[in-house]
Amino acid sequence: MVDLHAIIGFEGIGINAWMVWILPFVGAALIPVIAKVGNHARNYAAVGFALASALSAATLLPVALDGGQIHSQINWIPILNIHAGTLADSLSIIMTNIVAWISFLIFIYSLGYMHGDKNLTRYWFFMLFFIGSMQLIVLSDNLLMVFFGWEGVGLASFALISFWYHDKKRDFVGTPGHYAGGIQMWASPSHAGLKAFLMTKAGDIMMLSGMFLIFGYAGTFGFTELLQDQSWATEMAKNNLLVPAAVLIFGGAIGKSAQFPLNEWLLEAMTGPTPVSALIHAATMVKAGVFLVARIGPLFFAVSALNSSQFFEVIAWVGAITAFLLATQALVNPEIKKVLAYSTGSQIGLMMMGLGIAGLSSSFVDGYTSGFFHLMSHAMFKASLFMGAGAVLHAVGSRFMTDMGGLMGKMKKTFLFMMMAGLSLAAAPFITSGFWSKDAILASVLESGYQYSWVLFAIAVMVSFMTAFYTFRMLGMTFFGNKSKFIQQNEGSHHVHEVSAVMWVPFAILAVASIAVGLIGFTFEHQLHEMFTSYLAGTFGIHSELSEGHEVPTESGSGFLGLEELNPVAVTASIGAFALGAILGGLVYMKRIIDPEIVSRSIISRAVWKFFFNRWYLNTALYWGAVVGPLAIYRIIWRYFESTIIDGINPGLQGSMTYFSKVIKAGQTGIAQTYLFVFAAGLMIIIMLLFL
Amino acid sequence: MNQLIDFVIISIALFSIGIYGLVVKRNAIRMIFSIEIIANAANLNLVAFSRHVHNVEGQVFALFSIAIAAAEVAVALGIIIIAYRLYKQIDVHEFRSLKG
Amino acid sequence: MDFLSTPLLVTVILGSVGLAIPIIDSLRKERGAGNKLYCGISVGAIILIIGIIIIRILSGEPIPTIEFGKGMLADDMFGAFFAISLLIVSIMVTASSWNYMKNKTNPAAYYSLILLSSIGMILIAYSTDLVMLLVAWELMSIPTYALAAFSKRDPISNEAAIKYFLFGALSSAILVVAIGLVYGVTGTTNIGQAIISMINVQQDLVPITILALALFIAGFGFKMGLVPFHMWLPDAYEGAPTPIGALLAAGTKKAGFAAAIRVIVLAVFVLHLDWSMTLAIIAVFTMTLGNLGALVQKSVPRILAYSSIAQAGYIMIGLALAPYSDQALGGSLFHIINHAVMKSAAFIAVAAVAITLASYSIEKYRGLAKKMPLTAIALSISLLALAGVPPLNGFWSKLVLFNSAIVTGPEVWWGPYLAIAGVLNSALSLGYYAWIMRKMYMEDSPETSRVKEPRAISAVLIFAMIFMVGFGIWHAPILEFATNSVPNLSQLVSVLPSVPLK
Repeated sequence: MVDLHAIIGFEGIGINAWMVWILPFVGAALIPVIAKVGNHARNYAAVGFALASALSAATLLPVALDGGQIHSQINWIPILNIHAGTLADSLSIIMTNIVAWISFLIFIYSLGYMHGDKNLTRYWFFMLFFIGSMQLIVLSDNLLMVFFGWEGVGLASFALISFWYHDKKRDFVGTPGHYAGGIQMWASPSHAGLKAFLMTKAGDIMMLSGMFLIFGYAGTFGFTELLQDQSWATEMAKNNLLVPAAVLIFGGAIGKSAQFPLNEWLLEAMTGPTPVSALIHAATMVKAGVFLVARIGPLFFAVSALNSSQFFEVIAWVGAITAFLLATQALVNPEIKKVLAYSTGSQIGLMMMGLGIAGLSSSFVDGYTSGFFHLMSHAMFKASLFMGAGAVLHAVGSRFMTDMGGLMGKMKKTFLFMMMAGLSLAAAPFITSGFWSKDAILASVLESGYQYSWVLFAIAVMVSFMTAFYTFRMLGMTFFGNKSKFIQQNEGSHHVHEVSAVMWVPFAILAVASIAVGLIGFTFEHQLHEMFTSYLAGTFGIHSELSEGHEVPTESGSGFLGLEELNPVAVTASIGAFALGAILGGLVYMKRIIDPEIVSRSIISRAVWKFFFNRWYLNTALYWGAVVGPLAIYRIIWRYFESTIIDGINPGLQGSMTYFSKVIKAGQTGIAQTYLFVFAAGLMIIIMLLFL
Repeated sequence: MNQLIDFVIISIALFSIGIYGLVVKRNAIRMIFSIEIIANAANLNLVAFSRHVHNVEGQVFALFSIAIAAAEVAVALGIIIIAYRLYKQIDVHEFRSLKG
Repeated sequence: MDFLSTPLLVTVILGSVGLAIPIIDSLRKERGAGNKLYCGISVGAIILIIGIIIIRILSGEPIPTIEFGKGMLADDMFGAFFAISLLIVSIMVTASSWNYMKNKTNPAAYYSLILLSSIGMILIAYSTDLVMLLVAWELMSIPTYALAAFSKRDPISNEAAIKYFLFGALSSAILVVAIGLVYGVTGTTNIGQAIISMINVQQDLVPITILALALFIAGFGFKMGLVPFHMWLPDAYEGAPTPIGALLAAGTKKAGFAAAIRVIVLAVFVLHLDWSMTLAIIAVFTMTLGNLGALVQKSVPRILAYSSIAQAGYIMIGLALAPYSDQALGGSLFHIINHAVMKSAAFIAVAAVAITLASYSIEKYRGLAKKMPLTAIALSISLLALAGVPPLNGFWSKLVLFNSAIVTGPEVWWGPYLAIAGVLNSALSLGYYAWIMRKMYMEDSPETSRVKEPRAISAVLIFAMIFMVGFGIWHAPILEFATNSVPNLSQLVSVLPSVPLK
């Protein structure tokens, strides 16, 4: 067999792996310079850099399909014995390609969406910076570089969420005037950006603590190094620190992926431009947490198979709770992007559930594959949905679905592709990738052998039902029915029309891809499963029960239909949940037979509706506990500690230093003789010192 | 025959005179004289040691040193001439606008 | 005499170009013009040399780390390291003189003197004989006296040159005395052999060797700017034309360190004299005085001059700890090359402001960010790098130095205190660095119109910024270069010639 690694990996140096994350950073640095040449040059240059990065990522694919890896390292900080490197193995190569190509498509979409904006230089700079940091997270071979990338995406996310920081009313998110428990529930872009930054920072601090705990015991940050010498794990397990460290690192994932309890920032992140929401908050950055779990999961599973089940339990339950929590909130929200945001968080919860259950079951591979497969298919259809939502926003001029309606006729292409992607989200049976991936998760939950798997299963099925319902709600309110008053009022000035090709082609591609993968879904999942089995077995030594006992049908051509691998309960449940949700949603919102206002007739349903609409009062609790409370405490500290003690010491310190400085200044008299005298005197003193 | 120690004592004396001159005198030309005196003290040292060690290297080095000192003084005099043109006097004590 | 050895090649090429420039000038019709031509020739020559040295290093020929051979010059890594650093400084100074010397008289002499001075600096690092060292030292210094006085009509420049010259001449004379004493005790001027002979010296001659070494400290310390030999420094750096200030601060100072390492430190190694504490005390005083002195200055080049004094103090930490730690000297060299680039960048940015706004006063720097954005950001980055803010290159070199100081804790009781002093001083230095940055970015001046920034200087500043930020992100190659240029303790004795050649 031709040694592909040698060829593609450039003799093991793996320059293309480095280029994938270096090129966007170089592009980001050059954009302000290219912007001086002209706006078009700058825009095309930005897309060009994204393309270059994506192509570099694509050249890595053969390595993944071959089951190999490229690991190239350089000496970075010699005195601390820290190396920097890229690790391109099956997991990271697939992920990097997903990130790179979806980013490229979103960049093309941005050309249309952001057309005419005055601050595009800043936009491109931060988008490229973001891609570079994200790829750094994916391709790094050690936790420290992952952390640098982590912070980089956080910074880019902050900058892009508050992109329209002049806080014009139309860029807000939420319904102005909506208070819950005394806390305002709508946000301006700058506020949203700050909130996102601070909440993810809380997660980052946890991650940093976990990382340093491990570094303290292991002396290294590198993934391969941690795997090779596992004495650190046994040491930590003895001191009961292994699971806490793992959970702390997961804390970072919670923050970045907007899981409970750090889920609030994702919603208000919708103040950013839609391409930003599509890229960062649907397809890539929020997946970084899942990716991190996928990276360290097998590591912790391999090092101490017994003790670490608590870690996986935490992951699975956090995922389940989040999925349920956010799905309920999506049921009642009137803004299109917010529904998609809730949906994202909820789906990520399902992914976490899949990855968590992997560690709790006897065959790690099943859950792992299912979680990752759902990541892949979600990236595709969610990015597509967001881009379509952006097209609708552009066309209608309002973010509220109540202001839309009847767009089916005017925006045929958008409607078609959003339907396709929406069906995938709702998990329409057998033809969409969403169905196969969700089914895989349900199957792995059922087959896990975990004590409470039936609870997780029930939650997942309910979430599937709610997903189908709110998806159809969204599609129905937007496209079906009659035109809303808002559109009719603005008909004169603002015609609703289809968007330009540069905008609909990207999300069309993704929607079609989602369906295409769905059609070959079963084979696709099987191939993925095979790849991960050999990856986990080869790298981590994790063998699934299946391959130990009997012969798994061999790789070539086996996954044709292999129906014996489908779990009938899971399939039935999936189809059932979809059917129920779709029919209900269709009746209420598409056919407009049942009036959604019936909810307000009964007190109980109204209360439940209000509870969901106020986001389970989590935002309220968060603000009272983390903002208003500490501010009050801070005022006390300021009055009694800072302004008295610290501001008392400062002038003294400053004064003494300035005094000494003036002494020295007086010493420099300007007269050469004085200088020479000091020279001679100093010489004498040194001679005397040496003779001592 | 003169002992080595005699030369060394004279050399030290010259050195001290040079340092004294440099620190106390105010005229720039006098300061250059003092530096030359120090340099010559060093040369004397070298030649004396050369004789003591029975090696030519010291004397060769002394010749180098004389040549270098000459070059240095040439540049110094150039600077002092410019100073005279600018200030109309070369009292180093008065050159003190750069201070602090 | 291997004419293709690096030091000789440097001498021949730079020397011929340096001597050719005045000849070309005398043949031209209009004397005193031709700034661009000479600048171009000089820059070309320096680039050629840098290229040759880099090719030599990367070609894989074994180059000894540090060599004390029989001859005058040794073609070793130590010399190559300093050659690269000093040539980078020279090229930055020469390139920025394209703009600085625009309408000034006699550019031919200017460029010629810079080239000749560079030869001297490089030869100091390569020399293995005290005579060679002195000749190179003078070759470096004398042109700089003339260069410091180059603005003939400016009394300030002249005064600076006079003070510089007086100290310089005194130090040269002291060096000759010191060399004489060493010669007297050991009978040879070759550094390697002198050290060997000093090991076996008679007991009653030991005080003379100590005296000689003290005089060496004084002679080299003047150039390095150590307390108490520093007093000329603020005046000279402020008064000299600003690119020459860069040459002095980054070039001659580093050559002083090269000489000091060759002569003093390695001698101290072998002779096991316990001087480290003296050097450490000098280091602490130097750092503190430099940083404190800069706090209440009003003129920016003066602030940079005091800052140079302080930075020399940090480098001295490495020299003081050389006998006890392998990393210390490597760290010093690393900081030397970093400081060379950082300080030249700072001085050249000040030169840009001096050309366009015609002032050194810090009040003119108010609102500079709006008037000259590129210069302002280059100056800010170099100031932050000097302060040792991560992730710029200054941080890493200070980290290595302080780390080596702490690591020697068990053996040397004052090691960690040295590190503490260094850290506190770095914090203190931020006081004046950040103050300049504040003036530039946060305060406004009455006129905020954009001023055209001199282009050659902008190019030099961009190069310096890329260097500082790039090597801040990944500093391993330079650290490796620096550590390969200094011997470690066990290796050292083997480096000296085993038998005195008599």
